[in-house]
Amino acid sequence: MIRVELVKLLRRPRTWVTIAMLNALPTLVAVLLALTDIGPRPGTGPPFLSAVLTDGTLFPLAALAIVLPLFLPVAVAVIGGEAIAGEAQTGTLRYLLVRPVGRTRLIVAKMVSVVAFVLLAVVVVAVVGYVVGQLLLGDGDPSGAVASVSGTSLDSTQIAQRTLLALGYVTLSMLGVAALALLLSTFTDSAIGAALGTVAFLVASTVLLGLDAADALQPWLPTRYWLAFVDLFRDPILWRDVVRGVLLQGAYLLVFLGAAWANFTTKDVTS
Amino acid sequence: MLAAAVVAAPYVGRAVPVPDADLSPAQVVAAVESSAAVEHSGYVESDGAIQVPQADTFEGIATLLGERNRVRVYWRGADDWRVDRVRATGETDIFHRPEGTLRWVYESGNATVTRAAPVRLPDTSDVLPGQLARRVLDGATASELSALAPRRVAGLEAVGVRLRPSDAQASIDRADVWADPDTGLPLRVDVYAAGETRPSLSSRYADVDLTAPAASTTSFDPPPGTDVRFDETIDVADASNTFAPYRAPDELAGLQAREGRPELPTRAVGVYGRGPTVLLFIPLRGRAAEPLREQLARTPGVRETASGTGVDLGPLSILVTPERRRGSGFLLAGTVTPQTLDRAAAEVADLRARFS
Repeated sequence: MIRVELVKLLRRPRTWVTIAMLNALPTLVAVLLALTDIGPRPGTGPPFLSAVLTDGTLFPLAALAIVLPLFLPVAVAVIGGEAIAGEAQTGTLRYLLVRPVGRTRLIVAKMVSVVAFVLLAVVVVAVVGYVVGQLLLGDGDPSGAVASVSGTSLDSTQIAQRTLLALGYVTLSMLGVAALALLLSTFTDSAIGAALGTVAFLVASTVLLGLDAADALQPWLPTRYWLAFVDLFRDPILWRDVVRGVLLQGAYLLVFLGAAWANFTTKDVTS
Repeated sequence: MLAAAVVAAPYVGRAVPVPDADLSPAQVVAAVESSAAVEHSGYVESDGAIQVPQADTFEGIATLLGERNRVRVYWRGADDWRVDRVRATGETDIFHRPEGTLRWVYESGNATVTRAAPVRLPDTSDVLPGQLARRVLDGATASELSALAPRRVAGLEAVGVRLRPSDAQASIDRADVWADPDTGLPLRVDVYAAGETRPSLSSRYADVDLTAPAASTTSFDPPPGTDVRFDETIDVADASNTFAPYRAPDELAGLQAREGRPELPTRAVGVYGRGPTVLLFIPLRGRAAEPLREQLARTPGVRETASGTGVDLGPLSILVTPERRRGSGFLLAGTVTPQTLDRAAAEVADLRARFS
């Protein structure tokens, strides 16, 4: 069942069109940076964008930072929202379940498929970012050393290790989104409804983050620690928000996936 | 259940009562005043509610006093420390040594060294609980102090003291300080303007480690592609103090000049008052004074009087005196009442340039 879902994911043109669109904006930004050589002022624009002017090595991270606030979560919400609701919408869910396929087996396969999409999207954005960074942006230091955010030198091994950690962190952050989309997908027969519900939740989180009156809520908001992967490139690494982000997304993942499983295995499937 | 446990854990920890430490307010103040050498590292969050106009003269002060700042601290002593103001997009770090300061800005890749300045505008290090508390409690008298209930800050049981300045010129109503009773290290400071129930400035450690940070954390080795530049002066106050042909008065608006470091005496710039009451006097050239006057004139609530162009921003008042030669003027600013600034402006109105 898992294999079937994975093959379906990889064979769908929609998967690759979505990933191609995810890469379009960072690529455009790289072209503009290469042509104009103008980086954002301190405190503005996505992280790492000023640094990539002199060293393209960090462009995978800049690319992730560009798509992380909006495009990546929207893509994940669409794919996650479609998992169960999409089958219901096209009327295939009933047939799947009478085939017979166990409900737990089906939802686990859907979960694995959504996780695979998140991983694929993050890795492709990073790889395309690396290639674009190498082709269009600065060559950096011949030794391969890169300036950390704190102004120390990081060698190529450290950069590779921290980049992998950052990719893992971004993937986990997006899995929280995927889990919510999957949960909503078990509640409705409308894939678009589940995706929009997820996006609405994330927009609400972002709005509350900017509101002083919502101070007490902020540590629990799903988008609160998304950009904390930048802290992995400080020296010494600032683990505080990274650890909190991992715990928070882990909690969301457990709760949402648990609720999705509980709801799906007990609901009346009528479509 | 698991989610509830995760959510509830920090609140349960904070709800445990904090035992009373047997220290009088004067003893807490003495401990705080001698805490500059306490080695530690930590993570500070500061919140400012003072909306300083965005003007070149004030550089980063608007961000410092009007926004939330996240700051990482490595403190090996009063003359060996590093303070990072971290942002989602990068960070600005200050590395301090007795002979000077290095400032690193990630986004621009700039590393700039300046020599030690006897006077400068506030920077990130000044909103750390330690620096802020030592400044606020400096010169406090027993009658101005009262004890506060202890509270837990950054996991440590902290003793509290409240200061209510008795100076008539003060615009600060009170400052609450909580410090570690063993080392005297201030862990939290809340400063309230008169009539306000929320702090105008609050600074607290969210994490603190009372062991000495490694020497490598406070030294700066430029990364590849970075040129370290040298600047003559650190900001407008330092530049004016170094080059302006004035001698600041010894006393202004009834406030005595604040004692600085004797090896680095001030000249043209004056700093007056004690504790949280600070009055700053800075002679400005026309090219600095004129845009500042224009900026203040555009600020809501501006006061245009015979004393000059001024704004009152909660506990902070700013005034630029009327034009002198070629648009120059005196900047008077500080945590004093607007009447104090008017009085100071009248006292310096006849101050003449001199070279000595």
